[in-house]
Amino acid sequence: MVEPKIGLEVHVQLNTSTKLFCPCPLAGLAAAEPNSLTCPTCLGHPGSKPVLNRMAVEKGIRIALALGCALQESMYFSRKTYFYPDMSKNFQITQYEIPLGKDGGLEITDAQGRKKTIRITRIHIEEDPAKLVHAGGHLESATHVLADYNRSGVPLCEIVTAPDFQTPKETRVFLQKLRSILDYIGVFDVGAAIKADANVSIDGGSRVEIKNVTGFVEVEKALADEIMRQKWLADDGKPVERETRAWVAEKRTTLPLRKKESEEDYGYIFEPDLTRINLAVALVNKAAKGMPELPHQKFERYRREYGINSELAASIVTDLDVALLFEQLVRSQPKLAASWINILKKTLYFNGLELRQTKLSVDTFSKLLELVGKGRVTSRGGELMLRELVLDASRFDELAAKYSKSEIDIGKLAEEVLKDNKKAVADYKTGSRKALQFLVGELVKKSGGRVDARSASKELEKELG
Amino acid sequence: MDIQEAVGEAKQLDEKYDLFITINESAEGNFPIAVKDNICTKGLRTTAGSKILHNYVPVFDATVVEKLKRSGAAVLGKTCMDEFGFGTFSVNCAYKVPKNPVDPSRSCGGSSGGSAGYVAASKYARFAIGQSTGGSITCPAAFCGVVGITPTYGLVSRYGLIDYANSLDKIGVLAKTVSDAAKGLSIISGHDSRDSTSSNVPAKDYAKLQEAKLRIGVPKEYFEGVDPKIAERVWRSIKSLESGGMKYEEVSLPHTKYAIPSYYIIALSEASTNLAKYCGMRYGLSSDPSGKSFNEYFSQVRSQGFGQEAKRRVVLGTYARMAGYRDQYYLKALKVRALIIEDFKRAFGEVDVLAAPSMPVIAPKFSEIEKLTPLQHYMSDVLTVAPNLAGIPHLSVPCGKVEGMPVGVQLLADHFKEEKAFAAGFGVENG
Ligand SMILES: [Zn+2]
Repeated sequence: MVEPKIGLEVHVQLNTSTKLFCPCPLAGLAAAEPNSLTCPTCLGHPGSKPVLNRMAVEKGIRIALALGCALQESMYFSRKTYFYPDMSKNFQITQYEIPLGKDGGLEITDAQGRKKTIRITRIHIEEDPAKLVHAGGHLESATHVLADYNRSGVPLCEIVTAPDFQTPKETRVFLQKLRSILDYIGVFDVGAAIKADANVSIDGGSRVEIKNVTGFVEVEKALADEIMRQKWLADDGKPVERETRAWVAEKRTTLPLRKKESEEDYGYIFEPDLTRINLAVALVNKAAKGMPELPHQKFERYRREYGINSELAASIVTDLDVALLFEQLVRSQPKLAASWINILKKTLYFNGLELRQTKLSVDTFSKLLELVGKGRVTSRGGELMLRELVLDASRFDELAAKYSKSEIDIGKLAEEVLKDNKKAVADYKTGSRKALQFLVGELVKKSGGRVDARSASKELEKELG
Repeated sequence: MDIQEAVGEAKQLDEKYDLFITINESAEGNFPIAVKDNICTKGLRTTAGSKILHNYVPVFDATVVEKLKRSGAAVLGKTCMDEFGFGTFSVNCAYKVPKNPVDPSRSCGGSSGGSAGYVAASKYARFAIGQSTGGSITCPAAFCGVVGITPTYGLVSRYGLIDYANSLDKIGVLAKTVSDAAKGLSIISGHDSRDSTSSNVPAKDYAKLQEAKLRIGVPKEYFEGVDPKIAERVWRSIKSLESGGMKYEEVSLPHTKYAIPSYYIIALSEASTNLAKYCGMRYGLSSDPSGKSFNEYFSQVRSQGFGQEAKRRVVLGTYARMAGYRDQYYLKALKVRALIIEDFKRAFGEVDVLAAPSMPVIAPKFSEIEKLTPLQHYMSDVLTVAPNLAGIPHLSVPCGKVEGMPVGVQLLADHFKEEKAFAAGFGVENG
């Protein structure tokens, strides 16, 4: 079998403070009363006019630069006309023949550990339509539909890839990496979902498009399901039809949306209310100046400056918050920073948390490393403290006291361990090193991590004479 | 001036000539102004001449209306027009067809017919607000015997103008005299951040008219197919400018013949997208949606709400931008438009102002208009579409009468050189 060919159209909401073509605010959009964040422009009233949000353009340029796209000299918008109740003007202002950026790429690592570049065909900026609420259930069972125009005019960036993915997993790797880059360059709130349309064909068959999948886990699932469906059809000798399908997350399956004999015809014209925007050197430079160090650049630097192994470096740079924490810690704790960031990542992963969801500050984390560095808390104790700190960072002082070495009587604990493990003591006396290791382990355990192995061993040897 | 007297007069004139769609009884201000009904007036019904907006009351004032109110204007009413500006004779209106005050059996011209008729007939109004996409100021100005200034595209904010074709629409002034037109334009022009196509060129005080020794160009293409009696009147104006010390020469604008198809393709392509928003969902005409899909409902409202010409233009405009036609019509028309602009740029390298007839005919009788085919109807814009496509300022000034009906000469100037058109117009007026 020929490997599946998969392409993505990713929609990212740009984190500007106002909508793309009007001054309506985006803050609090999720919780706002329906239709409260609207104005004549985003409601499509007669006489209203769009005014382009320059910040959205700047953020778009940053995305284009981060993905290695060639920027066009000028920027144009177009009208994509079709009738739908979520469209305030029954046309969407988007970019058509001249997108903001073209011909970029993003490198990912495939399942065999090989590097491959996913080509970015184009990126462009467009407005989001309104949100439709199907009152009384699903599309089929709804008695009526409510339209909320708060979303109307929200700025989106569409990133289109070539059909360069061969497995659904690769799309997840790509989207994770893309999300991390978008976070780095400050154009996207990581809390917001990434939405994507995916297209897939197998064995050179017809291309099927899957619309409107939210989140990269769902994209992977939807593609896996669709590839399975196409394989079953092929096994039965049935043709795969060229069509558009919808991903129904709760049923974990795709359902047909419309057959596609030919491309839909949107009758694009240039948006006459917006003049040509010259992407002058000045504007591009301004956007470029706002460009921070990107993940792959940090990766190289961490390897070079701090000599961290590539696995750990890659793991740190995936999450901007973690990378920034690391960069602060490494100044005061150059020896401990990398390994403790690794411990932090594992702890977060274990709890299903992201760093930004915890209240763990650089300050708290530095204090923890200081305790460990100065030997006031054992490594083990530090790890145990961290487990509790990611859940509640305000308990630092209390936990520091609990795990502090000075708070315990190591001699007393050692006596107890020796009393409880007579056999091991006897074995030790006959010269068994293993017995000592066992006793050390028991003492560390009994101390709740407050005593490290070296001190335990020293204390026990003293007690055993 | 007592504004209530002006309101009273407007009502009388409306009874006689059907000039207004809405009259504002509670108008307040120092001087009266009538505004074409496709320009939004806060709290005052604005229909753009269409039934689909029969109950639409804007929530904001257009920038020009804001500026006028600030200068003391009282908005007396909203004037009759072809639906969304779709016409040359103001007969494609969902409400009333305005009658020419010079001869009520004839058209006021369009699409700013009501505004031109009102300025011609009122003894209170010095000027009124019109709007041109392909000649909708020049045509009614010529037919009603008033002055009409269509400014450079971008000089006057379009914020609050109900779009016909956004890349062509310009708000302008119909006035008693060249000086009144200049004063009116000075009030409404200037940069507006709410219209992205608004120019940053600093506003000028056009009312400070300056006599100037201008080089006049006479484009030969603009006399082909023109009523010879009209051509003769226009030539007489050109000669009077010459005797005033201006030199004239014949020039050529070779792409003129492509202006009509290029104009209609661009204008209707844009119009067909602009009209998409009227679907009975958020404002305007609505109907009972029960038992219908959204497509059926939208179609029902649009079938009821749009007039014949609006439907024709939506269909034509939609075809011109569809895959398979888009390259040969829409994109080609954009290229032709660039050639037409080049024609003018070349001419303005040689001369300051171009002088030509405003319209090829005098105001036709309604009985004659009925016999026109849609194509003949479109062809009557032959002298006005090119300056509109190029976005250059053009001023129509009365220059005598033929068969008792007014004739206009249009004076075209380069982008943002309104003062030159006014200076030439002043010469014609005093010639
Ligand atoms: Zn808005």
